[in-house]
Amino acid sequence: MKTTVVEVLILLAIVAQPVFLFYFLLYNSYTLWLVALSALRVRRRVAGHFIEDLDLIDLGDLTKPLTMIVPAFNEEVTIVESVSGLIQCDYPRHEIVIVSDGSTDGTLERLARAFALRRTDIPYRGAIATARIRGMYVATVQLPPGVMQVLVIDKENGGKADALNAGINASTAPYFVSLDADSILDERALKELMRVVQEDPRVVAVGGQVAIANGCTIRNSRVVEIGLPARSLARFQMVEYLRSFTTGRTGLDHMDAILVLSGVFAVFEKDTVIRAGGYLTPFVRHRLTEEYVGGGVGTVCEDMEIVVRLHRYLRDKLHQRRIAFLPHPVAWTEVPETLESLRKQRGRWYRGLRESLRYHRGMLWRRKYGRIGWFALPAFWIFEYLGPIVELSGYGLVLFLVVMEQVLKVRFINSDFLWAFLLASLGYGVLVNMCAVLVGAWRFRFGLADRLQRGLLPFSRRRDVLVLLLYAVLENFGYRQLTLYWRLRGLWDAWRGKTGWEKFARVGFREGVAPAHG
Amino acid sequence: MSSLAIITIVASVLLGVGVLAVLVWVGHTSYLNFIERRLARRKGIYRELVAELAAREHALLEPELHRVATLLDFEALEAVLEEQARGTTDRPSWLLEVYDRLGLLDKYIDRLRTARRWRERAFAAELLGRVGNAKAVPALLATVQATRTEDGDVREIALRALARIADPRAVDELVASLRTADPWLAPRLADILARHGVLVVDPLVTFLNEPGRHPARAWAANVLGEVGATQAFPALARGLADPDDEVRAKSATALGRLGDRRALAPLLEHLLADPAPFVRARIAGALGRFDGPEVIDHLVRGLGDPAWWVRMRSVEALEQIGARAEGPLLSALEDADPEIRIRAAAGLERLGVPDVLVTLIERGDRLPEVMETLAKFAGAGAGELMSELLAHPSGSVRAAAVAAIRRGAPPDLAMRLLATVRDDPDAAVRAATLEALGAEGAGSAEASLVAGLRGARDSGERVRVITGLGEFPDEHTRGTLMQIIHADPSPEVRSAALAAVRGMLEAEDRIDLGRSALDDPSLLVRRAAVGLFAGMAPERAFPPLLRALRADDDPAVLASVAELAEAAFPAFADLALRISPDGPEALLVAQVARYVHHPDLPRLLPALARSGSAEVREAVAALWRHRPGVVDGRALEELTLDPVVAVRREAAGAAAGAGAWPLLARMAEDPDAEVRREAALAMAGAPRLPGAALATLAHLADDQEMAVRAAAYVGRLLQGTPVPLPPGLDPAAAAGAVRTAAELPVLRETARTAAGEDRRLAAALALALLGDDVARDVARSDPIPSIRHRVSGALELSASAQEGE
Repeated sequence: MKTTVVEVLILLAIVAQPVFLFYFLLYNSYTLWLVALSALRVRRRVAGHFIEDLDLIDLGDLTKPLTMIVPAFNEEVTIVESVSGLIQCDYPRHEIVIVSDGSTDGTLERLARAFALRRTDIPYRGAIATARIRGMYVATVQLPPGVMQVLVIDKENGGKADALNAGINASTAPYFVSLDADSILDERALKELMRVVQEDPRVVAVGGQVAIANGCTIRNSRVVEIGLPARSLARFQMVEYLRSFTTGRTGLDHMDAILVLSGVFAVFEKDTVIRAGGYLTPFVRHRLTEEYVGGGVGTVCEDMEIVVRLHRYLRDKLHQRRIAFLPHPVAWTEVPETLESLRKQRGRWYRGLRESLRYHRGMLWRRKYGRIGWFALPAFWIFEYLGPIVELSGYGLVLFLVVMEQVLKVRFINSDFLWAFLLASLGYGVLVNMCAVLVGAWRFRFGLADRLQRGLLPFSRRRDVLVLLLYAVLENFGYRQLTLYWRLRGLWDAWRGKTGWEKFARVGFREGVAPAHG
Repeated sequence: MSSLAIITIVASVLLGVGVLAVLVWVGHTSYLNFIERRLARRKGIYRELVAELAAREHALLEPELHRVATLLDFEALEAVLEEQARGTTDRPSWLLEVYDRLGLLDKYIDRLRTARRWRERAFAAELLGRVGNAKAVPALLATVQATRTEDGDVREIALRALARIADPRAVDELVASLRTADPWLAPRLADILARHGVLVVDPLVTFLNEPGRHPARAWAANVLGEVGATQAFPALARGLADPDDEVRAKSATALGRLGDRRALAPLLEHLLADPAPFVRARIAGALGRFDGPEVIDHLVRGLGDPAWWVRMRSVEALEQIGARAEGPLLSALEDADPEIRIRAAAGLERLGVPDVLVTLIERGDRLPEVMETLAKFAGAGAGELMSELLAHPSGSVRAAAVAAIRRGAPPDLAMRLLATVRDDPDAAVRAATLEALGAEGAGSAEASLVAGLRGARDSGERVRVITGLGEFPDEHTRGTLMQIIHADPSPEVRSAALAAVRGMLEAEDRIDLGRSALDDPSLLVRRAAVGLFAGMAPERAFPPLLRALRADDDPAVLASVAELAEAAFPAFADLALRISPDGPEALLVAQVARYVHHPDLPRLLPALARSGSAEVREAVAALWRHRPGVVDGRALEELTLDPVVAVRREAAGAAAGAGAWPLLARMAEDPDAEVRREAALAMAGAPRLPGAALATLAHLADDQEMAVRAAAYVGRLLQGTPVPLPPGLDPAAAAGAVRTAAELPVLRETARTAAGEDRRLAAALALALLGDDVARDVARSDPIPSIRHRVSGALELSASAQEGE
């Protein structure tokens, strides 16, 4: 019996060792490749960012109007501050549509008090089916010249995607921007994204980097200084954001294969989104969504699903259009600072990823989808969807074999393999992290005038970057494995049929230093 | 080589690469900081020189330029000029002249043409946009048109530079480019041309008159409309008959913008005849800028157009025309499309038609006609208008609205609206409402409401039904409402049920219910619970209410209690004087008193201020801090000597609010640094301090604690004394004090516009501690050189302090 077990374990070790080693090498090389691509992109975009004449948007008659859609579900803590920030947003022609998605707290009351809302009838085009609308309100307070109107839609709960669809229906502008009620926009954010749309008519959607607000100095609803979060958990997430979002998405954008535009802040061409069926919800009854993903289904990560569906739609219809991404921060959001909140968030992201990938698996390995079908989607399947299973199995197997060696007094693991495995998974991972942090913190200098150093995340203190580099090293030892485990739990939840949002409780932005405790 | 050796080598390489990357980053940032600091030092003297150039008459620039051109450190001068160029969105003529005369313009044009690196070309293009003139236009146009060879970003930046330059001498060149422009470039060039104003009219009219189907001709028409070129009328009128759809559409819009009545005839002719629906829609839109019976007549015919957009634009144009177009808009209320109907209803509402209808109903004038119109509004789905009419104070208006809804509205809208007026005070309206609801009597109405309550999943609907249930106060209804109060998940519904059940309970039951509802997690419900204590004898209501209330409850709940207290102030005062000043009820009285504005309130507070409980004393001090009008001087003095630090801190704020400067002078000697700092901050935030208080601030500025010194220093700045940053004082601590004590918008306004130089400088120095943009503006553009210098210095000091951190 013992001989059989030993034989099986030896066979397992022989087969599994090169597989896991190869996987980790492949994964870290893929990430490093994206970091390298993003370094090129960042250099150019930071230069472009510096020399943009955004004030010209104010002067041109061709400036395109824009609707800012703010889905809000029980956001009474932050809603008035968020909307006040949006009203101040520097853009010459925009309207704000706040969609209270069946809020049960004082969201609507706080809005009504702050903006003197009045019930009204508006031309509402039900282009996308949504949950029932209860009422519409228009702000009667004096608005700055660039704000066309502030509209509040009160509807029954249908989820964030459904709220966005209601906002699209009420929008009167050709472009809309999806926003989170609890994020902070950069003052130039709208102009920067709309400049991309304005200058390149092929762009149907453009998103920007969403950075972590924890630890930043916030004044008048604006981030005025970038800082390091006080809590380690948020610092680890900062490293993760730099690796996966800042450099990962920028690298994919360099290949014209971006698959996710953060729901916190992205601009879309309204007609194209309507033609593609709108955001995916069980209420949507569109022929195209039924053809692509089937009817009556929703997703918890609508921001990824809509981007993948737009790619599919554009390529199916042979439209020569594209989806763009800006690497510098345009919006700031609060990240979870407790393990429980982070677990919920990661579980939800993973379920959303799984849904989007499964809905659009028909795009895999199809020539007409180009780099999306041949590179981006396969990479997401292998590294993002299957990654947690493979990586945790790798770590688990090594541990298991080490234990079995002690129990059975038989040598299963080649010590060379063990070192190579640790090097490929942890050592290489540390290097990738450090490169991602340095790409984010690298500064460039243009011109001769005063203080013209620019960077993607211009930390004001060099010490912050050095601390972040330390966290880039530590991230591989514990935190990373923990997030893999949470993602696996997300998969378990998905198998059990869980579909809820599990929204984490926000602290709300405070003037001065953003949520950062301790 | 063994496997282990290979692994060791690979690990060493990884480690080496990581360490090297970090070292390179450290070296790079150090280098950038070094060159920036070095250049900053060299720029100092040139700032004055350039400021003098800016102030000179154009004719006197020449000798100054000669002097400038002989300078040795040209790089530093260029840096200062670049700062000026970037510091403003205008293009001051002296700056353009200086750039041209010093040869910098030629330098950048040359760089745009020949630089090898894209970044240099992009930088040159951008700077040319800021300081260039017509001389730079050919090079920029060549860059824009080099689609096959030039970098996309550089071309885009060159386009923006062209838009910014807007030099009249470049018009011919730009129009020539428009003639050959690709479809993507034409709108951008049109935008640039429109910034040149009337100078572009003649060449564009010539272009528009040319035969052929070049797509850019449409953009020429667009620009002519944007610049309001009346002399382009004939060409634009001809454009309406152009074979190109786009030219016809843009000509129509341009003619609308010109507002020339000669355009009416061709526009009216094409409104019904043009084959392209989008051109007809544009023509309808353009007609909205005109008036006259023939325009209205044609727009009415536009309402019958099969194309949705033509009908929508016609409705919008009619609304733009105003009161004379009311009749046609009323007919649009019957359009087949619901969006057009609702758009017409919104337009009529803006024109004030419903107000006229209301007046007619109240006068009893032309009722059949009015009812017909109201029914049309209801039929168009104007739900909110009908809601407003149903809530109108006049019973006849509400009854007319009910009748109109029954006649015209779709059934679901009728039910929704009628549900909102179940509590109408007028029995006749209620009867009509119930009748409209299909109920045959009170009993069956109640039964149908309770049934509706069970079936209603939407909380708003439940609230409306509950409001209706309040009409039927009996045992059964009360039981139903009590169930809702205890079990419904929606706070709106629970609070509506509390309000509805109020009239059905005895005083004792109301107190019990109110006490339990004050534990509800929802603020809405707790506020409604306070309402249960209203309308009963105050002596009976206040004791249990205070016992059930939480001192840390939301201010909105405390304010609701304060409303009750204000309404029955004698009873509240009596209770406040009877209770123990040391107990938890005293704390509640102090919290509630903060929202009470009764004239006798001040006599309650001294006793509470002498409470044995520090919490109560602190609450009273906080009350006085926010309401200096009710301060009792002697009690406040005692609080400033309180043994508890938190109380003394609040008392410092109260003393500053009440202008008790001698008390604050004594608090400046307080043994606790926090209290001294609070005193300094409170004085800093006061509107204008007398001499004695300023002396106290000056005294605190020598305090041994850094935080106190920082607060006092900031206090002096905020009071308009532009003292320099004392040596050894941490700018970060001072910045923190500015954030706490100052209202930044006011401070910014002072720094920008105050007449007194000292006040302006002091405000800018305070802002400089924060690195605020307004301080930078002042450093760049304040008319007084010494202010600019001092604020620049303060900014550099605070920036270097931040770097040091």
